Amino acid sequence: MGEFVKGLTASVPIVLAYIPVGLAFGSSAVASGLSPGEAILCSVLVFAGSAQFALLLYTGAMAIAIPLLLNVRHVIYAQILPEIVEIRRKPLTAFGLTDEVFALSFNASSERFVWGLEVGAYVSWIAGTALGAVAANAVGSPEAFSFAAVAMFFLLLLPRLERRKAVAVGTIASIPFHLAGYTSLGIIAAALAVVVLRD
Amino acid sequence: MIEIFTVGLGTYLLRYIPMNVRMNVDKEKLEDVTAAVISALFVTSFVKLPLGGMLLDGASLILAATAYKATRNMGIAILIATLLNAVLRLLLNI
Repeated sequence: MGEFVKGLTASVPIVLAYIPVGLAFGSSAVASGLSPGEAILCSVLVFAGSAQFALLLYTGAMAIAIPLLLNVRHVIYAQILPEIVEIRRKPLTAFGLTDEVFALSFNASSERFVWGLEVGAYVSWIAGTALGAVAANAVGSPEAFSFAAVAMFFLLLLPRLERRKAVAVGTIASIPFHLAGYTSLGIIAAALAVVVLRD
Repeated sequence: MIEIFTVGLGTYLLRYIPMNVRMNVDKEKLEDVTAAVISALFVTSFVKLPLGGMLLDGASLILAATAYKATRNMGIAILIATLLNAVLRLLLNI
């Protein structure tokens, strides 16, 4: 089996998580005044869940600043990914680097594997958005399937529990931000806190 | 429309530019950062209200871990646990 197909197969947990969330985004986007075409275009161009939801909530400069602030955590992912596998086509690989793709990239042995993950994630995100934008009322919102992302992060965390201090720091640093409604900042805080405490 | 294009471009640059800036980070520190980020991703996706939903997710995670131990296949383990979680949510009306 080729590395790309292996990555595509490994993207199943992401697909399970992205379709319902994409569906929720598509229906929310249309409810907030975007046309179905604009909602789909947003998923095609941005491909970042929390940033896209934030785009719907704000107007003007804030509609640009807040989503980008939410995505600053991707800087950390983009720094770590080339340490896991050799990245030769950065412009291509960078586009699909979401939270879930980054998390599953630790199983990657090549860039093609990462591409498989990214294609599975991207197609399911756009398909979910399109379904939500066009037929949300008919389909409903199967939120329970968002549990797939929780289970995926949990299984990826298990082998890292031996790094107790880092796991504890990550948890303690992120929770206050999450409870205050700034989850993305919590992810950044987790990474910075562990660096500061090590140094 | 301009917001969508700008956020799309900005998000892409946030993912692309750091790939071209190689920092000389020691491996141990990188492993710790990775563990902290994964734990933060897990905790922030797991912790949510109502509490009943969290308890159900917790029980489903035990099943996911058991299925993963038995199959060594993350996709299958997550699929089994997610389906069970969805059925239980439906039955318990959570």
